[in-house]
Amino acid sequence: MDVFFAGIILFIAGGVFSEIISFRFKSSVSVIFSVSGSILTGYAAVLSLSGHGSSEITFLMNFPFGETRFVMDSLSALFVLIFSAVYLPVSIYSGGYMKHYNNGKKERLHYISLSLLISSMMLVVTVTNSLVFLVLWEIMSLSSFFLVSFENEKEDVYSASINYLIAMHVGVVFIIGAFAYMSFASGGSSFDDFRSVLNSNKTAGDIIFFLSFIGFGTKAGFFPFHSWLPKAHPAAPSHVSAIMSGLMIKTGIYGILRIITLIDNPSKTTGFILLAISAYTAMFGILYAMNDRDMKRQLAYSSIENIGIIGMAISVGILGLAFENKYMAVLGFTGAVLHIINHSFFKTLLFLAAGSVYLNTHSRNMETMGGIIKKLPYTGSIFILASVAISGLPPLNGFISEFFIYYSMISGIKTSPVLFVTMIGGFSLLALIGAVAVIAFTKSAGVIFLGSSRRTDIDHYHENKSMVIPMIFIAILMVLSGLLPHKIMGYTSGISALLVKGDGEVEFVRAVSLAADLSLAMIIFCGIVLSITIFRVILYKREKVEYFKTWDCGYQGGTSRMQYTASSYSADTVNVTKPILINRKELTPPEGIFPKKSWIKTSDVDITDIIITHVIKKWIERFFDAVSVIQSRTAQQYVIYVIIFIIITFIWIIGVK
Amino acid sequence: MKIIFINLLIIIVLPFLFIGVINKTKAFWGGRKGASIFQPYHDFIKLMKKGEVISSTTSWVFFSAPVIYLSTVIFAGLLLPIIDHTAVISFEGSFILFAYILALGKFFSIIGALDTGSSFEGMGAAREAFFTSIPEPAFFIILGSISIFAEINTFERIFGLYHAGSELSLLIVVLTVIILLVILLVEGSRIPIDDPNTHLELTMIHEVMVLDNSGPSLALIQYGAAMKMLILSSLIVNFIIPYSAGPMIHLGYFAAGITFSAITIGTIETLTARFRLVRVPDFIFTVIGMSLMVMFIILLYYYGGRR
Repeated sequence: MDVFFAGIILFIAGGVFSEIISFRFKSSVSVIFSVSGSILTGYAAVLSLSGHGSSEITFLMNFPFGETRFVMDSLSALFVLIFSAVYLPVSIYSGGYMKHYNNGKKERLHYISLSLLISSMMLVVTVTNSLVFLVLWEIMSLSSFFLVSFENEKEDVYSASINYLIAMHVGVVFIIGAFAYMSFASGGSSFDDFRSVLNSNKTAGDIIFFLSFIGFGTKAGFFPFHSWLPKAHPAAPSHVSAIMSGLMIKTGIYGILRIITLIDNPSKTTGFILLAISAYTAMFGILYAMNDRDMKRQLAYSSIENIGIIGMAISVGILGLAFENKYMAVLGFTGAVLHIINHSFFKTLLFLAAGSVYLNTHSRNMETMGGIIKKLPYTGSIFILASVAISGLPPLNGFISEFFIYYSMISGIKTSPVLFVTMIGGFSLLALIGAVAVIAFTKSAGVIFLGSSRRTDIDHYHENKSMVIPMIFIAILMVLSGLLPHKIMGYTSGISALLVKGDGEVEFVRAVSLAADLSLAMIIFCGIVLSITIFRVILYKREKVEYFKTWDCGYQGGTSRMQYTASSYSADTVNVTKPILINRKELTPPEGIFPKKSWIKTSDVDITDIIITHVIKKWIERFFDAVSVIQSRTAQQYVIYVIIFIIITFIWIIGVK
Repeated sequence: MKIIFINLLIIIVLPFLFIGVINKTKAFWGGRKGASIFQPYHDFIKLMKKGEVISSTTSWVFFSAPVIYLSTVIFAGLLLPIIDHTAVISFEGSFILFAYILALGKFFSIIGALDTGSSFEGMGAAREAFFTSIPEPAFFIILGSISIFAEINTFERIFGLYHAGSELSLLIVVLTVIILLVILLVEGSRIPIDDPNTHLELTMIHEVMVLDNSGPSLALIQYGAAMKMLILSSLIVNFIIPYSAGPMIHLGYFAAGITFSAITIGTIETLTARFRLVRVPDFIFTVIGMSLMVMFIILLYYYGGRR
């Protein structure tokens, strides 16, 4: 734990130092401190996961907080480890990325916010005092707000960051509500004190769970509370979106998991409601991702999808507990934990690659790109690799976690008829989500990186080493976690024990042996690919090869604008998904014998945006209109209010006494 | 061990024979003499010996797409229980891997097509992506539901259904076979979904995706496609064959079944015309409806008083 705090101190010191020193060294100082800090925190997490080292530290603080304990149990350690492993390469990448912005004054705020964000994220997942938790949670939201609003001279960035700030504060109100009730009822402020409140009354426990679910779900991006993600992620610099989407939204998942560890017997209703919300979230996210043409917004929507998948896994775990099917619970929670790890790898990678593209094209619209893989070979190949992983395809890590989620569902179908129907439903939805994910990511990989370029400035594109090497590092982590899942699961046994409440050892061993089988199959598959590749390359060396332009049916005037675009690629699928996906189309068709200018404009509309802007906002306005009656702006009236207040207080005190 | 070798042999050697039988059947119904059933082998060898023309627009993706496509199909074959319901690689939940590994092949054939920058190939890729995504949930619904009868959820155990023997189980078998047949036609791009012999790029689905592949890379793709057809029809055949028959009898059943399914596919292709493209999705969507029916029949069968 001392090592962990040394790491945190290094993060903060890096932020402070980069504040003081001259502009030229800012990025390198920040990188050095971040790298060494994340090595220390990662080391502390590994120590704790393998059962060595002290895992607790207590601070005695003043009045409002009281005794504050930072505990590194296996759940916290997992999150700290993911944060460190991903933040290390991302901070190196950020050094390369920020070189393209020559704005000293803003960069200063940027680095200190970055260091505050990572340290508050790490502290939030270790603290056990709910008050300190809320303070750190707030620091996390604020520092990420400053990071999102880096390019605040742009109109859309400004409005996106304000939107983010508001969403975070609406979310935190629910967490405060849940925590305040629990600490009022239990008389203590640490999470362990909350246990009694959550378990004494089942209905109260459910209500508190869903209150905190709304709060944490806003951070994570569950369906009706997700609307900040597709705005904030495109607006932020790419390494910031990588951190936010790959890591920060996982703190919301951490919150939900932490509450689950405190509940002894979660109810069936909780599981079913959570399953429905998560399945809808996942479906919604991937359909919007498939339709979107802004490359970073697409990734943001796919984060919503993956959060939904993690939520499905968690709810299957809860249902396993509620129906007393231990194997199902263990598999479900394991799937959730693995998907948390895996998603943070491939989503970070995709955002970093997208950032590399953005620095060259200065555009996020994928319709204007194409053929970039020839100029940015590493970035392009890594993007394709990560696309395979995020579509949940073998032999990469995305498949492993989805396999566990599938398998947890299938192991529950014999338990009860209700579970049979819901699990098969979830099963088929997950298959559909996977199929749409393939469409979404073949689209972005194909349209951004493959084919011929739709722009003229492609010759100037280049990638620099300081940005490619961190990506390769994460890519290696990603491939390894796909090929050796049972090694990773060796570290997650503690988490499964925490979530399944003590027992479930036997079931966990079964799950690990399943992962070992899977890993063997993956390695065999890689062997087959390798041997056929070698055979093919030998053949290629021997045969007569001719390079010529793409076949165009004998038509000689083809241009790159004739290629299939992202919208035309997804058009068929978009047409059949009307109820979930709302597409707004403005069209002026060509008319008459000599048609004049005609145009079409399509945009996808997020249904929650419509609800917020047209319904909720109106209600709020109406409410405040009604309340404003009491404001007359005359001093006499306010004096009367004061007198009425004092009289009521007197009566109340006398009445009580 | 012997059975595993027979299985491997079936997967590696038989695919073209299967296509040959389909073509022979079509020739028979068309009143022609038709090519020998071994003709696809000759075509394969011819293509392997040729040089190739590669589009200068392409990158490594185009080159590796046929390789990965073929490897995924071979691997899917290893997961599939064939003779004596034994798979080369078998573990719990391997049917999930089976579906996903085929999806990986699809992923790469799609981005391989997009890599050429041709509008035709983009169009084919978009159609292939859309059409093949529809039956995916249906496949999972039926395999998931049927797995309720299995003690262990391996691919081979799930085929124990026929054992149960009653009117309802017969209904399950019939519906499942129809669903799997439609999936076979969609995945294999056969009539009435797609016509492998068409000559107009605008109406093609799978064939248009490989317009720019030639020589060995086309050979690999055709081999993979043939193997996929064989694998999916052995899935159907094995679903019908009684569970414990002994390896040699099973081999006989299997040979008869696979020939019958090739003849059936040839007959379907002769009797029906391909659908208009806009009607194809409607046709494929029926599979999801049927799979939900299978699910509810199994729900009744398993929980409705039988136990």
